[in-house]
Amino acid sequence: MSGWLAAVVSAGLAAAGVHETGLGVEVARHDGPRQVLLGVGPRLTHRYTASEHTHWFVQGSLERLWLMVPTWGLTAGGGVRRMGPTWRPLVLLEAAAYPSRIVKLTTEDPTPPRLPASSLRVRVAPLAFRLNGTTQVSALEVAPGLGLDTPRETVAFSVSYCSLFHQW
Amino acid sequence: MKPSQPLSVCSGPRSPRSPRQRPSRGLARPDVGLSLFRCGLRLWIFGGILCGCAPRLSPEMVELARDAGAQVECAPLQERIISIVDAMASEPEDGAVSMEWGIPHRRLASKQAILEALSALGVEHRVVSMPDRHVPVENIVVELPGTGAGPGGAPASEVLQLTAHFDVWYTAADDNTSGVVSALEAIAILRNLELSRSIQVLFYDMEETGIDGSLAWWDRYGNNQVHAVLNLDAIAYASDKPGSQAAPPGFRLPSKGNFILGLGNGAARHHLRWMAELSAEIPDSAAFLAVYGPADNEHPATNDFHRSDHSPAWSRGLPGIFMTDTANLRNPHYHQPTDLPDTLDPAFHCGVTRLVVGSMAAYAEAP
Repeated sequence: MSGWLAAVVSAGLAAAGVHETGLGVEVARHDGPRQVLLGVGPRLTHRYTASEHTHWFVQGSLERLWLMVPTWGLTAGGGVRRMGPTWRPLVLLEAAAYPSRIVKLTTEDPTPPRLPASSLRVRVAPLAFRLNGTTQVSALEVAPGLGLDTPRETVAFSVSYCSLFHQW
Repeated sequence: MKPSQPLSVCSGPRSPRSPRQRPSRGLARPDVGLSLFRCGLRLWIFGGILCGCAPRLSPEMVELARDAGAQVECAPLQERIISIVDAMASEPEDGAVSMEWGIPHRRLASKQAILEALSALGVEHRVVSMPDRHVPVENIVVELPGTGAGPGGAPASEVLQLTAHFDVWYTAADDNTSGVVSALEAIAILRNLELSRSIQVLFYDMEETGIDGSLAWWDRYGNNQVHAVLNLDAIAYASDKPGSQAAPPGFRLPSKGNFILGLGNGAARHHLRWMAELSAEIPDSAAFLAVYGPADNEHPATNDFHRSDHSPAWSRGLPGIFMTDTANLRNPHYHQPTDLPDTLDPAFHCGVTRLVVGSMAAYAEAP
């Protein structure tokens, strides 16, 4: 039964396009006048491309970070990448949200922020390489951005190290 | 802490409620009661999400806080600091404590000054000795019984704690004679108000050695009916000079060190919000900045938040607020022989004391 299920899922995935799942180490920072976060932890990413010859892709990630507060992180976005035989750098626009964070209130603004620490980031992965038919590595990804709570004053960025992707 | 009630808080401030107005249990049929409970739970959850709201202070509570804060007299605060520091300066350098760091550690003169002040106020107090601890401590306790009949109708069995440590390095005006003097002023004002919750003012011994006084207290008495803890530790140094305020690693604080910081745990988020709101309501209150995390702040980047007597409350998941001028992050005289009264900002200290007294009055009635 499980074999059948796996076969059906695999067939469905193959028919639907190219799926890649990767695991890496993430450092994330959200520093604003009302919300603060600094954390490090694993990042699980799933990327979808319509076909092997398409440059455009979408991806979503789940992070678990610790240091300032323990928090989950969710990101979703889309971008473009070079589909070379080995070197496959990419750039994407992504939205990130961290529900747990340090909150700051002031005399002038005593109301807690209602939304999670959210930001819009541009992720650049210049050191992404295809190792073989199904394995890729992204040595370093940098994602500077702006906070969505108070964009003019909030700095947001993340850095991913050593993400290893498997293509399904 | 009681759960929020979105139906009332989303539509506006809560009306005063007396214990007799609470719905009695057991009158409805079980299935009807269950349905009502489920309905209420859904309203509570979805109402909370949609409104993003928390329990609010009623106008009566804000008025109470404003009046209580306005009763603080500024001039006597600085005079009392000078008096206690002068007394400590004449205390033998080793006091009754032998410190491994070899820094003069004083506590006897401050303790005596507190006892004399309480006697002058005519307030009942007791010294709780715990000589069996690895660091023997003698905490001073003042109990102000609640009435349960204030505008909030909170039960008198619930206790609000106001704490300040009285042991010091050298003759520390800021750390923590300022906190002690504010707590004494709070007693003088709050004892004359008919507040619902009971108030317990604790002058802790041996904080500088590793919060031994508060740990001893919590180990012996636990968290029985404690509603919230407000801890005062170094609250009178301020500077308008740009760059005068430093921040712990990973945090950004305003450049000018002219605000009082309220550090809290997740359980104290409502109390911090109320205090931030009250800082705009209480006349001549100090500017306030609240910082809180979702839980107990026991993480690598926030462990330093536990550096005073509020820590045992945080560790037990109780609402706790650490009021501080941020000590060494602002005050160059922190734990130095130069931490003297003339380095303090009396107007700022008075503003902080107004905020503390007003907030305590509001907390005694809060939802």
